[in-house]
Amino acid sequence: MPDSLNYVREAAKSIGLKLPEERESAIAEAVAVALRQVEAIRVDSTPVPAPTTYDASWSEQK
Amino acid sequence: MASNPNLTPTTIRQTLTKLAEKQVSHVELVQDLLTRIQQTDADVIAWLDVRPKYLMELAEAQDRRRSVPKPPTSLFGIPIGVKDIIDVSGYQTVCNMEARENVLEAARDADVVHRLRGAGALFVGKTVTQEAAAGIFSDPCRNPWDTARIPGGSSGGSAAAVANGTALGALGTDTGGSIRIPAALCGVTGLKPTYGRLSVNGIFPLSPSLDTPGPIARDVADTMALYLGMQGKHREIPAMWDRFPEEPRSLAGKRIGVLTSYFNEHIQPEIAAAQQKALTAAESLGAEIVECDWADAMTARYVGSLIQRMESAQIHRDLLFNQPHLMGEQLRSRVEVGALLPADAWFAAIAARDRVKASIAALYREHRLDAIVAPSTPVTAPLVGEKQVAYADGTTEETGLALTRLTQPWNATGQPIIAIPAGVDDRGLPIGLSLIGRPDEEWELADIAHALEKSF
Repeated sequence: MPDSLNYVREAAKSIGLKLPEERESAIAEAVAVALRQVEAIRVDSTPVPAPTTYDASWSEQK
Repeated sequence: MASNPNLTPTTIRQTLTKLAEKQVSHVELVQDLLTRIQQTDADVIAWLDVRPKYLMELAEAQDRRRSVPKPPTSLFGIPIGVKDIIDVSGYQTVCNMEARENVLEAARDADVVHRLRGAGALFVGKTVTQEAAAGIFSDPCRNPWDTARIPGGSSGGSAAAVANGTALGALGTDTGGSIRIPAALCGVTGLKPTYGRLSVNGIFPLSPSLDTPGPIARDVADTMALYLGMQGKHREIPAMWDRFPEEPRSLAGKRIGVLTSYFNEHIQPEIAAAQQKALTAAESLGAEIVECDWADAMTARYVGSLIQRMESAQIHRDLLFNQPHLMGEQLRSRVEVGALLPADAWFAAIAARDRVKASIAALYREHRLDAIVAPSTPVTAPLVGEKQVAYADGTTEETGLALTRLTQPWNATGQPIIAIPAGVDDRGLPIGLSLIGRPDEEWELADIAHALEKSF
């Protein structure tokens, strides 16, 4: 996964984190999984439509 | 392979009666416990830093205190284990981290320990956890039911100590399932209270917006007694025991949800059967069973996972940048991934957390649910070193992902959960079920859990 490898290298460089070469691809793979999770939780990809106001009450009002 | 579960356990409630009626002294209680630790802990390895001489001196002092004609405090002399990320005055809090091996002894108790000390609890020692409480293996601790298997984690030592009878109760913490998973795998009861309900002061953080301390014990009544003690409400404990009678109370008027899809996919058949048995028992006690689905379960799981990674990356940032060689492979990878995620992942996760909280609230509201029942874990205790677990349909899942799959969504919503034992599978390994309640309704949940524990 060249894209995620590039992403990981760039991100590590930008925060000054040294990644040992032998670990780079494993980390890139794990980061790619996490980034897919981020995409999956964004508003327009979740099964619940984005509400304009949240109703967080747990039972009916009496 | 050794097997050391205590199959004839004494509960906190029974022990308090025996102590009050002088059927047993504090010295005898502690002596028995130390003998059992000596007999079993070479195999189970649940304990760190147990100080026999000090404990015997405390027990002797407690026996002398008994001779004073004034009622003792409500958990007087009850032996408790403390997960080694929670401060106990005079003990190191190493968190199973090489970087903290030489850390100074804690100068004061964590709030939850301080409050239990006020209730009279006796702290036996610290219990083994996963490095930084980040994972489900709790190595080198082993499962008392079969020492070739893991106890679960990260409160593995606490659950193992209660399961093999070397503590009557223990303290754990839960960020992605770390109380419920070991409780399920070791056949004991655990409570993850509503997020924010108990103080985390004096507890080493993993993910501050998810970390939740809670008790582990033999049954629901003992667990709730410790919960009161952890809140500093120990004066309410003597009256509390009546809430949990020998015979289960009626569940008439209660509505219990069972979730289809996510929570019932890839489940070991005996665990699915145990859940069905619990539902049948609940129905026979008068509860109404409601089938429903929560479409946001997977989103909630991702939210829990992402928040945990990003927050733990901040907690361990200095270590990662300056002394990464002192981190275990698993912790290091987790922290690296969290550190490398873009900042907007955080905002996406926080926004999604609000949405999943609203959607689960809507489910409870719509179906008028008092609780949801779900398996605590999809499989019973995996073998040490088992990287994948296999399901009946031939599919496999990475062990860590499998064991947190059913627990982590509820950390995102912050709800209270009681994990109870629900029998054993064909290999004699414990099965765990979870009861998930509405926020701040731990006691309503305990009533249902108590009724169901009597059905197994």
